[in-house]
Amino acid sequence: MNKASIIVIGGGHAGIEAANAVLSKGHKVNMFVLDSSAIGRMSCNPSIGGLAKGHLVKEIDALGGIMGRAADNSCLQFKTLNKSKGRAVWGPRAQVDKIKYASASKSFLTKHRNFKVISEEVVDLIVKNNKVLGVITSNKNAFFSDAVIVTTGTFLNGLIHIGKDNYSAGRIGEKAAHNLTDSIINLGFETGRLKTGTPPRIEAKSVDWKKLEPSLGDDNPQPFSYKTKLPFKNLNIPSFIAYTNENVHSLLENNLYNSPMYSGKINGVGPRYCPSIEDKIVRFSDRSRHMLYLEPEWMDSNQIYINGFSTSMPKKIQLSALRSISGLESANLIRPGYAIEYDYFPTRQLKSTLETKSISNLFFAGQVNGTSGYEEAAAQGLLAGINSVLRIEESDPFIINRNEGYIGVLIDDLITSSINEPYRMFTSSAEYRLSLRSDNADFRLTEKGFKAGIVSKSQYNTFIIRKNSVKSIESAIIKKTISEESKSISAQKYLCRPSVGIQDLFNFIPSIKHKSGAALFTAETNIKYEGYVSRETIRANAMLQNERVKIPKNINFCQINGLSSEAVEKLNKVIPENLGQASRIDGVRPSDIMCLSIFIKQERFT
Amino acid sequence: MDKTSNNNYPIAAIATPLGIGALAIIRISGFSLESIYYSLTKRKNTLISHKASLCSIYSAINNSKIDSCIIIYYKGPKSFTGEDVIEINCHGGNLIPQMILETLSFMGIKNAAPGEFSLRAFLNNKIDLLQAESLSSLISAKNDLSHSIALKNLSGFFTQQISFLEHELKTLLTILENELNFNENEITFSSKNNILKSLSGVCKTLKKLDNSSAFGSIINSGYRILLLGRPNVGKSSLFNFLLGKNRAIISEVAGTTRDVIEANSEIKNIPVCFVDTAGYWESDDFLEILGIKKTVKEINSADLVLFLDDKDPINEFNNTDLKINPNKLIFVKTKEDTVLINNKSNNFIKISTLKGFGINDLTNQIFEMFKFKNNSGPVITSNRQKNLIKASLKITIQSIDMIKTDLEMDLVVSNIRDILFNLKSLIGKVYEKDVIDDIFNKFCVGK
Ligand SMILES: Cc1cc2nc3c(=O)[nH]c(=O)nc-3n(C[C@H](O)[C@H](O)[C@H](O)COP(=O)(O)OP(=O)(O)OC[C@H]3O[C@@H](n4cnc5c(N)ncnc54)[C@H](O)[C@@H]3O)c2cc1C
Ligand SMILES: Nc1nc2c(ncn2[C@@H]2O[C@H](COP(=O)(O)OP(=O)(O)OP(=O)(O)O)[C@@H](O)[C@H]2O)c(=O)[nH]1
Ligand SMILES: [Mg+2]
Repeated sequence: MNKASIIVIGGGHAGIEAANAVLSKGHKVNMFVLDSSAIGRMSCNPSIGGLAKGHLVKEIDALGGIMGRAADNSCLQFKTLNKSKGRAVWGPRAQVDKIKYASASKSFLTKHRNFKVISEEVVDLIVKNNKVLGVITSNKNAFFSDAVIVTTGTFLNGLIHIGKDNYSAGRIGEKAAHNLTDSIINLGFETGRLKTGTPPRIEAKSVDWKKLEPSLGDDNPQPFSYKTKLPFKNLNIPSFIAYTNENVHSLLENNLYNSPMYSGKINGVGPRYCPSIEDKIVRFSDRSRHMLYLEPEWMDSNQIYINGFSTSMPKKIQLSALRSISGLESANLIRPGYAIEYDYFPTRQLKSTLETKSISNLFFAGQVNGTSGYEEAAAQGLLAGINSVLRIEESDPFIINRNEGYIGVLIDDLITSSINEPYRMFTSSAEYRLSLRSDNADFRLTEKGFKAGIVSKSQYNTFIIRKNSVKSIESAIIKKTISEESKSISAQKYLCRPSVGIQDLFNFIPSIKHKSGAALFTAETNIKYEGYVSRETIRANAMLQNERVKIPKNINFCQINGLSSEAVEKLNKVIPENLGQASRIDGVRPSDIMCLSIFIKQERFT
Repeated sequence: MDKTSNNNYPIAAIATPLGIGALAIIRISGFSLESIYYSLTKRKNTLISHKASLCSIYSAINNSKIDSCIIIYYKGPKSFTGEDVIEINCHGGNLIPQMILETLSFMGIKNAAPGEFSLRAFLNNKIDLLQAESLSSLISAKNDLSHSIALKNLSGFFTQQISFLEHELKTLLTILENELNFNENEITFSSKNNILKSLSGVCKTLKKLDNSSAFGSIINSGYRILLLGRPNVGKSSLFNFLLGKNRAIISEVAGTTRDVIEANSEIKNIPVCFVDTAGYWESDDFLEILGIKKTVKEINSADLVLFLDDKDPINEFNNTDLKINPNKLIFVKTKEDTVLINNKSNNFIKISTLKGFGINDLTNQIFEMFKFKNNSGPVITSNRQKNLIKASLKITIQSIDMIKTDLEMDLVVSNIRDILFNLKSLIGKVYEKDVIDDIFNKFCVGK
């Protein structure tokens, strides 16, 4: 087919992955941004990954995405979180140099000749016969395209709050976008308001570092990306741990009326899981201190990010609260923490491809969908990107099931449940978690991505080599019997013991000794987890059975006999694509699903 | 049969067993059944829900009167199926109910498939899956006891117990998941003891349910009572006497019975299964050796052994090297045709099948042994239920061990999700089409 051209509105993490997916399929991208120097900018924390988010990064990488590579390239420290809790929930996390990160991500795009950045504000969408045809910018220029992907992040009618003051901005130092929301509302979309916040930044030289406890990364970390050369070297720059105390707490408590969230100035709903420090103090009032991490924003930076101290208190109070912390007695603010309110579009208006239900070829991805976090945004961007191309090609959509990846869980949750606070990825959302580990993301997704055309031949080949290596380790172990205290035991059984690791088998099976650490780890985990995973698979198969029953597009739920009125209401809201999705809607019962399944079957025959 | 192909049309079926009984009931379920009532009865009165009325029923084929019937109308959703229901009580036999059914067919009302009424009740949330399953065992109940158990389950007692477990596990899951969601240093973990306590509680209930599944299978197959003794002591004679019919061959030749024979019966409503055996004695006869081997096997699976001898059963038993739990053993002295017996004073019961002496004492003692085993909780009656409970129990026990040995929490949590999945599927809270089809396939027409 001819080269399609796709418009991506936004150069944040969602926009970047969307553009990259389109470009890898060989099509053209016109990326619209408000500020071309801010492409790939990290609005908040100087880190990529973490609990559940690390899984997303690995999956994005397994699908040929950019995020993992950019993070490895700009890594200051790498650490796997939650090591004490079992490898399915280990969360790889990189602290990165924000400046390097942004330029690395941008360079992955600018190397494509089909990529073009246009620094104009999009104010309107061109739509005809319920199909999007292009965009109009504030300069009254019209641009046409085969599809449009909206990834406008926190910029739509963004409003920054610091204490009692507020002003319009997309994030600090960048202006907001004001017209696009209205034009989307005019197309019949519903919108809502959410909020998020960021901590203050302080001067490195104003901190008494000796009073703080350094915290280093892992010694020999595995990088995010398959492409990063091994051994993975990073600077392992320490971050530093500080603690709040009763004085800090009472100071903040006495000033709650000054916080825009508590005084009722902010209408948007904030994330429960990433609470501001004033939130934490109110909600966990029994805790006498909270842990804070002081992290550099880039190499040798004088600007320090205070992880755990997100706040929208007045500047003066932020400063005195910080100065009550041991080590920060003479801290100077570079920039205060702030909260930002912005427009989002509830995701029940989207299909599982992230295309809107009502306007074809129009896609939404990222924070504009009500999610929070770089990784969540990037994952959606990637899916919207690939699906926009498949839509134009009229090929089958690229859908990741809940048992295939966190990305699948994320998108299914978005389009199925009603979300009324910023959605953040958690490992608890993944009910088939044991199979969805960060170490096996490539096993789950790379082949699928290769078939869909977003994974390059060379990435695929690298994966096949790794796959063979893991398989050869596994089969060597499965074949081996070892003797222990004159009894013989299969090496597989032996390895399943909690106290035994794969290195304990090296003497018995020398052939596996020289395999890569990553391959050994995956093989070891596969064997240790096998019994549990097989039960999990039974659950997953029960789900997939219902997933395969498609619900006809023009179904009229009111017509179906036996459905409860609550079910009809909920089904009409979500308009699920298959029986499995329908069964996950809150308030829809198994008996409703039964009625629905009978109806579908009957439709198929008439 | 494919009853899941449509669920909009009205259906009808004869709800009572065919050909038996003075009265028969024809049940119709669907929406807006008034018109059916009016054309069947040629009446014009307003129908009142839950009221019986006497009326004549006419054939829609040739307008002739078929029968005088009592018609009860149940306006949905206050009916068994949740739809409008009409029940026609007509005269029994084969002819009249069939004629009414034909008339209904003529009017376009389909014959219900087996289980279709219950399926509709399930679809309209009038009964849950376990209740449907109980209903199916109620209909096929062989004896009084299973009838009352099915009734108890039908009242939702079982579902309540499972829902309770489900709630307990969900609470635990929420706590543990929350801990997995956060970084090690962000939260304080719940104590191992609390988790163990909660899981042990679940384990206890599951064990009880699992035991009741052993009981549940007895409901269907009866307590196994084995008749054991030397050849020719009168085992087959007692067997026949207890059954009240001649099932086993009796002769004066020792070694008449070569194989195990069994038959179901009841002792005061308790379901039992009597098992007659070949003597256990050593023998050179190949066929008999086979029979003896079988006997030993039978001893192990029996709930009770009656050890018979026509001289001294206790002494005789001690001469053998059989091992039988004394709580599972009753000694019986046979062929006491002449003596006036006082059974109480001895360690064995004296009987005569020739005269019928002592049989009541024997059955009384058997009854005493089993009546307390009668379970007061919910009872598992199907294999599907049994397997799900067993699987849940196994995973629970494994999880408790895992926590004790500090195994990774992601595995423990996955186990808890597995248990929850099993329990939910037990009460039909996850939609599994095969399971539901299977349950409703076991029904007979009209229910
Ligand atoms: C103050 C703040 C605090 C945050 N705190 C956290 C946190 O604590 N934890 C966390 O996980 N995440 C946090 N985030 C969220 C995280 O930054 C975002 O989830 C992520 O960056 C979203 O990526 P995105 O691609 O959707 O949008 P963004 O990164 O916001 O990018 C939006 C892009 O769209 C462009 N754009 C917008 N409108 C137009 C228009 N009309 N025309 C042309 N271009 C347009 C902008 O120029 C920009 O390039 C925070 C964000 C902010 C601003
Ligand atoms: N007098 C008398 N004879 C009995 C009584 N019960 C059984 N017999 C006789 O004892 C003989 C053996 O009876 P069975 O019932 O065949 O004995 P069995 O123990 O089943 O014998 P095998 O099958 O050969 O092991 C028959 O001739 C019966 O008529 C009884 O109560 N009184
Ligand atoms: Mg016999």
